[in-house]
Amino acid sequence: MGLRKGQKPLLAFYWEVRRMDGVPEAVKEWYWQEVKRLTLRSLFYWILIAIVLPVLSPLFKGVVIGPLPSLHWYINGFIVIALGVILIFWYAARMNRLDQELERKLKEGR
Amino acid sequence: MSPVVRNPLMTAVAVVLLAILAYPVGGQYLTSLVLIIGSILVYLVLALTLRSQAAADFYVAGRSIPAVVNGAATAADWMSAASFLSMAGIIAFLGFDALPYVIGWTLGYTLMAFTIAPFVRKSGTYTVPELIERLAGNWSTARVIAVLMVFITSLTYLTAQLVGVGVVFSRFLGIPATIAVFVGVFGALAYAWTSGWRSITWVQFVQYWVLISMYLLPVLIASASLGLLPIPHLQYGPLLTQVEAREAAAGVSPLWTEPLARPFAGGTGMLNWILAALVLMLGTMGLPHILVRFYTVTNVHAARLSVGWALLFIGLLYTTASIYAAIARLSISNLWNKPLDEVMNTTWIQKWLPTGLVKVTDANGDGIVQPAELSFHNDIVVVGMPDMFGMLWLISPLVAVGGLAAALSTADGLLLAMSTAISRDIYKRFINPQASEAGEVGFVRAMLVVIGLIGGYLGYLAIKDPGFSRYVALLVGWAFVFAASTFTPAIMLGIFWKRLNRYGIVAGMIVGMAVALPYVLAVGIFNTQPLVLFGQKIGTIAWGAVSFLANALTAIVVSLLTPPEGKEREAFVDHMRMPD
Repeated sequence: MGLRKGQKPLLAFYWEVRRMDGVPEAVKEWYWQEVKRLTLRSLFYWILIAIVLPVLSPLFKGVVIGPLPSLHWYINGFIVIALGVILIFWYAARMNRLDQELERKLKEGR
Repeated sequence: MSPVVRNPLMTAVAVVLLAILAYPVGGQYLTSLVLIIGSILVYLVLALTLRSQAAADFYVAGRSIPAVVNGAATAADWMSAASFLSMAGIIAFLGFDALPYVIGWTLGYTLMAFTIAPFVRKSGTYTVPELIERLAGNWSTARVIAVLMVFITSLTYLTAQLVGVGVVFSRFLGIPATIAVFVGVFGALAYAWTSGWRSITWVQFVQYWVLISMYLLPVLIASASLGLLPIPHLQYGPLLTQVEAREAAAGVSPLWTEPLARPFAGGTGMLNWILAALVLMLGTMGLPHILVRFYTVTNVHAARLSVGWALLFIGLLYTTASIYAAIARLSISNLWNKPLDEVMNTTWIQKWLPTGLVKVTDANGDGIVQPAELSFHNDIVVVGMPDMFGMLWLISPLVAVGGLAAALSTADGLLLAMSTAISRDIYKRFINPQASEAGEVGFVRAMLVVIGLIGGYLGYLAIKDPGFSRYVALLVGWAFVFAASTFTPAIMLGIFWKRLNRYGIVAGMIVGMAVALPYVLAVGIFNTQPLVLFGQKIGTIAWGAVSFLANALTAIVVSLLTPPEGKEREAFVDHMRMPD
C-alpha cells in the first residue's frame, strides 16, 4: 500500500473509526440512505436554481416587477444567488434534524 | 478585552489618528500612504497576536474556527483582486453576457454545501492531496499527482493576485508596480508566517469586512445621488431602463442588457453560456485553497453552515457588482453626443485619461463624441467611481485599502495551500516522515518564502511583459477548468461511490486534464476555431464540462475494470459520511 514509517496504517485507522463510531450497520445504512435522499432533493433544487432558471431567464426580458430590473437580468444578478444561500441553510437545518434523529436512535439502542 | 481584539483595534485607531495628522503635513498623498500601509500593519498586528508553533494551527487552524468566521474568511479567500476591481467592469463591458461569472462564481458553493464541504471536514485529513490519497486507498501516487494539480491551479492564480497588489500600490503610492509587487509578497508572507491558517483565517475575517465596506461605500454614495437608497439592490431597475433608453437613442446595438449577443470566453449561444457558468461552479468546488477552509471549522455542523455564510458574504459583493456596472454605464453615457472639448474638460475624464483606462477619440472628426469614440477599461468601474461622482478624495484610498485586502487575502490562501501541500504531502509524507512538529512548521515557513518569491517573480514578469500578463489572465480563468477536470469529480465520486478505486481516481484526473488542456491551449492561445455544437461555439471555459464528464466516466469505467479497494477505504468513506 506504499505506507512509510511514521504514517498511521489505514487498517489501524479503520479500527479506530469502528471504535469511535460504534454505530450499528443498520443505523449507518438508514442514516446514509436519508442523507442520499436529502442530497438528491437538494441537487434537484440546485439544478432548478443554477441551470434551469438561468437558461429560461432570457424569456423574461421586459418583465418588470416594481423598481426591480427586468427579470431576465435580475434572475441571474440577484435571485439565483439569494435562492442559493437559502438552499444551503435549508439543507444545513434538515441535516441537523437528521443528525438529532440519529442521536436519538443511538440513545434508544443503548 | 482579549488581546486578539485589543491589539489590532488599537493599531487601527493609531493609523486613523496618524492619517489625520499626516494631512496637514503631506496632504492627500501622505494620508493615502498612511491608510494603505496602516491597513497592512493592522493585519500584521492581528497575525502576530495569534502566532503559534503548532502544526495543527498551521494546517487547519486547530480546527477551532466558528462557522460565521470561516464563512467571512472563505469569502475573503475567494474574492480576489479580480472580483473586487474587475468583476463590475466586466459586467459593465459585456452586460448580460458576463453574468456566467456572477452565477458561476457563487452557485458552486451551494452544490459544495451538500456534496463536499461537510464530508471534507469529517475526513480528518489536513490537505486536499492527503484526502485524495485516502480516497485512493492510501496510494501515494494519487497524492503526488494531486500536489501537482494544486500547483497548476494555484500558482497562476497567486501571480495574478500579486499583480493586483502591485497595480494598487503603484497607482496610489506612485512607486513602480514591478517593485510594489514584492511589497505585496512581503505583506502576504508576514501574515502566513506567524501561524499559517490560524492567523490567516482571522486576518481574512477582518479583511472581508474591510473589503466589503470599501466596496459598498462608493456605490452607496453614488446610489444616494441617483435616488436608489435605502436598498439599491431592490431599486436599480429604473437605472437599467435609463441606460437601455440612452443606448437605443444613440443607436448602440446590441443593447447592453440584450441576452446572448456577445461571445463569452471564445464561445457563443446559450449552450456555451450555461456550460461556462456550470464549469465555474464545478471549478469553485475543486479549488484547493477554498476546500482547505472547510478543514478549519469546529465540526461537520459548522462546515455546513459556514458554506451558507460564505455564499451570503460573497453574494453581497457579487449582487452589488451589477449595480456598479449600471451606474458606471450611466455615467459614461452622460458624455455621449457631447462636444469633444466638453468631454475632455470633464474632471474625472481629465484625471483618468493619463492612466489609459479611459480613451476618448473623435474618429469621424465631427467634434462630437459618439458612443464608439469613448472606451473604458474594466478596472475603472470600481476605482473610478468616486471620481465619476465627485466624491471626497478620501474615498479613493479607502477603495484601494479594500482592493488590497481582497488581493492579499486570496494571495495568502493560495500561498498556504501550496506550501502546506509541499510540506505535509511531500516533505512529511515522503522525505522525512519522522520530522518533529517544530521541524515541520519550520519547513512550511521556508516554503512560504520560496513560493512567495516565485509568485513575486512571476508577478514581476507579468507586469513587465504584457504578453506574459495575457497568459496569466487566461490561466486564471482556466484554473477553474482544470479544477473542474481533476479534483471535483474525484472528490465527489470518492464520497458518494464506494467502488471508486485508486486507478479510477488517477486515470480520471489524468484524462480530465488531457481533455481540458489541449483544447484550452488550441482555442485560447493558438486561435484554433472552437468546436461547434448545435450551431453554438463552445468556448474554453465551457469545454470544462466535457473534461469534467471525461474524468467522471473514466474514473467509473477504470474502477469497474480493476480490483476494488476493500474494507479499509470503505471504512474511511463510512467515517466521512457519519456526523460528529
